[in-house]
Amino acid sequence: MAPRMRQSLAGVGLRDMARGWRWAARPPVPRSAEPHQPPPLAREFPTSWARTPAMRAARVAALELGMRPMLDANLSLSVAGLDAIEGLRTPAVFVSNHSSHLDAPLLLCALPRKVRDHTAVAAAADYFFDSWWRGLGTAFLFATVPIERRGGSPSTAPADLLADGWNLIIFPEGTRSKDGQPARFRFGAAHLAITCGVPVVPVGIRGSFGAMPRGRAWTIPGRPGVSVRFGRPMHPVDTDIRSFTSRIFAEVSRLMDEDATSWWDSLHAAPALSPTPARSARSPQKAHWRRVWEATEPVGSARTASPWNAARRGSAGSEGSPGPASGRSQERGGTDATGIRTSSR
Amino acid sequence: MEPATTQCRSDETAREGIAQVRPGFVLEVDGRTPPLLVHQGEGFGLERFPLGTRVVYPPESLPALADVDGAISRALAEPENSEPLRALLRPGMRLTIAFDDLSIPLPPMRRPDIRQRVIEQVLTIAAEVGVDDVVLIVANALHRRMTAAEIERAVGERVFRSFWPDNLYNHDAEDRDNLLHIGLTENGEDVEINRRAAESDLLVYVNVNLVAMDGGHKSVPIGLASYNSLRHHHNSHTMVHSRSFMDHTRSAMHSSAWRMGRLLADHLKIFTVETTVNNASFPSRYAFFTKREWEWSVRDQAMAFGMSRGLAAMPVRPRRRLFQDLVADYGVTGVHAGETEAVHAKTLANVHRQQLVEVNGQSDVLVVGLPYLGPYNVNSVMNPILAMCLGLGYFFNMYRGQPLVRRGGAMILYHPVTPEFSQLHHPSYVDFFEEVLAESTDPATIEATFEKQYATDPWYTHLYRTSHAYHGVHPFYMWYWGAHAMDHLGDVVWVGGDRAACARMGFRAASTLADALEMVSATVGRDPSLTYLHSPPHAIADVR
Repeated sequence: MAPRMRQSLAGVGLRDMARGWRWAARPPVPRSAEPHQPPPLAREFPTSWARTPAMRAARVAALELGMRPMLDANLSLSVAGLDAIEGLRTPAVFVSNHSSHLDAPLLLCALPRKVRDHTAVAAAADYFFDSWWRGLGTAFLFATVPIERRGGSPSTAPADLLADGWNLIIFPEGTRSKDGQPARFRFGAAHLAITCGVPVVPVGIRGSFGAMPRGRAWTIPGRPGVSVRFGRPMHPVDTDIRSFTSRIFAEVSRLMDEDATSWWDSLHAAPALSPTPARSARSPQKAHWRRVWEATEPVGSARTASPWNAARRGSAGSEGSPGPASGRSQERGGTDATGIRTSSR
Repeated sequence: MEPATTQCRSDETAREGIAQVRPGFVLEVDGRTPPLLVHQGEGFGLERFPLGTRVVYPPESLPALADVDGAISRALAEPENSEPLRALLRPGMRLTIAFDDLSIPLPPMRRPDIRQRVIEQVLTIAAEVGVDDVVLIVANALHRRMTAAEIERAVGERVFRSFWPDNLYNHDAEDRDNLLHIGLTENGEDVEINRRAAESDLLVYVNVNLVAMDGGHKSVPIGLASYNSLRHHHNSHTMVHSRSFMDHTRSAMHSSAWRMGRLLADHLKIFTVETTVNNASFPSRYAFFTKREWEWSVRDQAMAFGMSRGLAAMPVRPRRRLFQDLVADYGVTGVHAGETEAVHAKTLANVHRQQLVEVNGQSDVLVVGLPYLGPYNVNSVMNPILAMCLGLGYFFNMYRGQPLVRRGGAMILYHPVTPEFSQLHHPSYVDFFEEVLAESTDPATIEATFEKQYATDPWYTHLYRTSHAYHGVHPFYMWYWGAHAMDHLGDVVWVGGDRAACARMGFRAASTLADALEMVSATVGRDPSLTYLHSPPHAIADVR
């Protein structure tokens, strides 16, 4: 007689469960199931508590004592263009390209304390507020307000915030870039600025895609360089949302170019006055891997020579190619109290 | 892509006037796919399927009718292709109400059972009209007699107290005095049903249509028939040529029943009431059974993991009790009444709306996980023959068009196939398993050699009539249910199955899916295409 087989149930262990549902991150949706996912339910998530004085004080402590040292320990952060917002007296909408979860903390930490204390971050309601614990965490740490990015009734919270004197950080791409290059800007930020009559401060962030792209839960080792460059406030002189969005997109792209090259070179580059990727517009045939390659280029090491520096060195009688960018940066920039490289260039 | 889908669904929603539910779809397992739930008898597991495996998910549960009593009332007052029920009733008439037995719905639905709600309204009208001669019959054919408690659960306390036991009873297919031979169909098939029903002025049949196989002319000509009549469509030949049971237009078994039903309709006024239920086949606290795995909350994951491990460690009896005590949160999605075929067309539309899933093409291997419950082991044990019937008879046949697996392909089933039998409910199964299957597993051979002997065995007949045993011939019918699959498939392997029991039935057992795939590789090759039918809840694959 054949031995009776042990009646084993199909099963997986806890490790497989953890891996299957990605307990450490967000539960994945199989690709073929994505078209069948229900639209996220719009729901109210109160965040006003996160803007009370007590919470602001707690956030200052969390950012200064936790987030900032952590960023500094893992990244080589440089901030430029802060002088552009020194004279800002009204609430503003900070608009930046978006390619990493690092972007929001980078921007917040790059802002002067006075500005940061009254700055909230617009965050996707379906992503950051899909569970109470995630919503609470991000609302506390980044003063986030939920934004419906997949339609539905527009939220009044951002306009109310601006009216209350708060600044707002918006990533108008709506999601993190898949290749590090800025994607099409949506019209929400321009609409908000025009309706509320507040300026838009363009910000270009470089290096965050390479430091912590989609799918990574932590930065890559080796303190990769990341730069945050602020532009001059842009006032909505006309009420055409589309053209204002194009201007914002062009300025953000230019700031990224400026960071990679120089202010002078970025001015020479053809402005892309449409809310489409500037670089891909210049080279539509560029393969995906090349865009990723470009976006993951180490910040600071491949910077081309500034013509002003070259001219100065030239006048000083120096020969050959210019030195490394970090050297130049040290010449012109300063170091703030926390060790973040700052520059007024 | 999403807006187009949403728009499409919105149009459909607006057209059909129902709340938006997601249709069924076919998942392709990729790196993001979590382990998937697989039923395995009185337990279940989580299985990692090979990349590229297609998984057929049923549509989400349709919203239930808000006013079920109102829907029943309207169906009785405005029937399909028939006068209203009230107009068919008159004082002094003989009214018989027959209803489906405990084999559907599965699991039993939360009280009040839809049969109770329909029967109460029928009886209310009959009482208002002044009908005195009313009998209720359980249409159990050759199934076991329902116990008093089971009948009371189906019809409700009020009906039970009013009619039990003299005017509410189980049909007896072996009571020669109470059977009436109506005649022969054009194909020479005997039509013989319960005498009381046949001699009534009106027969009201109350059905629960769980899957597309149920209802229509399968109700009266089969539910109230004798062995003499049933043998014409319950045989290996018709079963092999029923492709599938879920499509009555392509089922030889249903064609026979349809011929009988039409003959009956010429001799007897039948008023059919058919009801359909949604896909809420588990209670809400076990919601993870009906949710798509990547949408499981942490609670669902913990529940699934803990329950699968807990069940595996539990003794048999409490585990069986836990499962057999489950009642489904079925919601009623439709009630239609009137002439049988007109009603059934509407019923099928409801069933298809709830269960149909489009699938492109067949695969080399079909994988199914068999749950703890089939039509014939309610409050009982699922023995190996019933497991075979559930897998190769029902799950294999959950298709329309062509089977999910190609001809000559393999089927992998998850079930323990424990060689355990209920002596109360399945006495003839024991002998069938030990004697008949030891001689042959070929349905036609078994039918020719052994069927008559078991069908006429006086002891089995006695147990069927006086106890709660399935008829002596019932295990044969169960074996025939699998005839189409046995004819179609090249290999059958049971994951986790008892090796000896599987071998007795002519199959093989494997301990894991990987082993099963290795074993079927001789039939389907080393890189076969796989389809996993993620059921229950039920899904009918519309294979194009």
